[in-house]
Amino acid sequence: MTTGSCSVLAIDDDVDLLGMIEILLIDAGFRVITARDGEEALQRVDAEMPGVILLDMKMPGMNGWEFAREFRSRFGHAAPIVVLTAAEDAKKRAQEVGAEGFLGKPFEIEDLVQIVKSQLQPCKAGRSEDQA
Amino acid sequence: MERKTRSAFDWRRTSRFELTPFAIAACYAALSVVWIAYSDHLILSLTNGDVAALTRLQTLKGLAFVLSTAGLIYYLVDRQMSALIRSEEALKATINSLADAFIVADIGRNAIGANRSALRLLGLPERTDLRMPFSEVTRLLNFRYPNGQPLPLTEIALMQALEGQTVVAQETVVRSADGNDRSFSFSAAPVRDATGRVLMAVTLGRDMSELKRLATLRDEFLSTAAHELKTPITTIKGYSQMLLKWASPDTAPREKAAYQVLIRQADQINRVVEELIEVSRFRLGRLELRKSTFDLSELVTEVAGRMQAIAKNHRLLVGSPAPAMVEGDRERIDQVLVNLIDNAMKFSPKGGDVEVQVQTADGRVIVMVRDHGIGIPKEKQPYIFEEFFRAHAGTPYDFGGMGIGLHLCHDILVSHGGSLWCESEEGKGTTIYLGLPLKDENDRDHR
Repeated sequence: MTTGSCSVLAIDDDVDLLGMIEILLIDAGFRVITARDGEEALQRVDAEMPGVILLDMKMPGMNGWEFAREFRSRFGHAAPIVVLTAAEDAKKRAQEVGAEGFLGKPFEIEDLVQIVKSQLQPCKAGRSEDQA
Repeated sequence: MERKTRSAFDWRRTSRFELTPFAIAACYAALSVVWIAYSDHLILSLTNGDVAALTRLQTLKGLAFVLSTAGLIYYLVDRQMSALIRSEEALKATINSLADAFIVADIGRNAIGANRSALRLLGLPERTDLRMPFSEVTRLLNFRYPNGQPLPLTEIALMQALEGQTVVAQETVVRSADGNDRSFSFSAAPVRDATGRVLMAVTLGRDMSELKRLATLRDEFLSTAAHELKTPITTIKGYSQMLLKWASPDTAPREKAAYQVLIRQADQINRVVEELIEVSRFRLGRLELRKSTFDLSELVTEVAGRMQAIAKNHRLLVGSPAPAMVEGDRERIDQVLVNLIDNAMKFSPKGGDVEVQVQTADGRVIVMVRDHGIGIPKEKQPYIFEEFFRAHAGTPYDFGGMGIGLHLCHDILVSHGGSLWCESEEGKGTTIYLGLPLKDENDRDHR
């Protein structure tokens, strides 16, 4: 398991939304890993610890709450979690899972880029692409 | 000639011709007069001077008269009594056939009658001649407000009716004989004598449980559907914004404009979705009112300030001379004020002044939001607080939207024990009034 990479792990069960987030963040200069549910996300984390996790809450199979619980018990705060949710009590949900940030759906694309930038762990291996 | 159709309650007319009391008395009087005038002549001519025969015939004449009169009285009284009994039986059968629960109470607050549905609700046998203090009925049924708080005896519709009040559609929760809670809507009215004094009161209760169940299902569906819509909206908006970002300087302006429209529309859909979520949450009771004591005047000033900052064509004139302490959910009242001021500006598209005044009187505080815009047509005014009603749909002033803003505002006010009403004149403008009880006067239990 490599640590301190500057990849973004995006987790959402909606294929189109996941694709949109991926393109958006790649465009903004980030490296993106995707997962469709909590199970897949844990596998990705096992392979490579991301610099920040974007977490959708409502997913079939292992949902956002369950993933967050699993991740915290296994890895603690190795990576910050940003909750992406349609719920109007987004802040409360973020607090419930001990997330470091939250963003309500629908969001401005700039806001997503901004929150990723602000939460992303510094790359220990050194950044390959710098962005403004 | 067409046979006159009888109304359902016309049990009196059982014969083909009308026998009014006057007709009967007149016939009787006429026949009697004729008899009195000519019977003596007849008897004299029959007896030819025989006094004994004359006496016998006169006696017979008298007896015949008594018998026929007695027979007539018997016939008439029997006819009327039968008609009355038939009428009463028909009425009882009708009331018994009602699906709604029917209870009668006397001024001693005793329940003196109930129909089959009511007896079933109380868990009593079908033909019970109900005679019990109404307090016993309430104990059996455990009357409550919809929020679960106990409903005091004096507040119950039937008891209010005994005091002379007619009550329509009082929402309650009762515990039926099978142990289940049911939503019931009670109406009650007094029964008065000729002098206007209340003799008894009647109440009719309708089981609303099925309606409520369906309404809950609907609201849950709305809530789920609305949440489901958020994700595709996010995707559409995201790509639209990216397309705009990717557009090069040589991209045709109309292409960039098109992307901007897509973004705006995504936002519009989102606004509607959020209103749907709000309303369904509110109705499902998940929108808990977080009550606190705050100064309504101060809130009005603050909201007006925020609205003025984004108002392009309007000037907000605020008058809130004195503090007005109320108890309520500040965030919700804030929402209501924003909605009212937003409407005022929206429906005065030519711009102008929007007056927001706060007044206190008689233990209440009234906030008035007045615009000088297009107004509301008179025939539409009674419906503006109804869900989904849009007074300007299909007119040049149709600004779209789902028309649930005012309905939600009204709901919020009602749940605060307040009220919302309007005055409007087409072409001149609209004034919306918001009323809330002042805190120190408000010492009753919340509903």
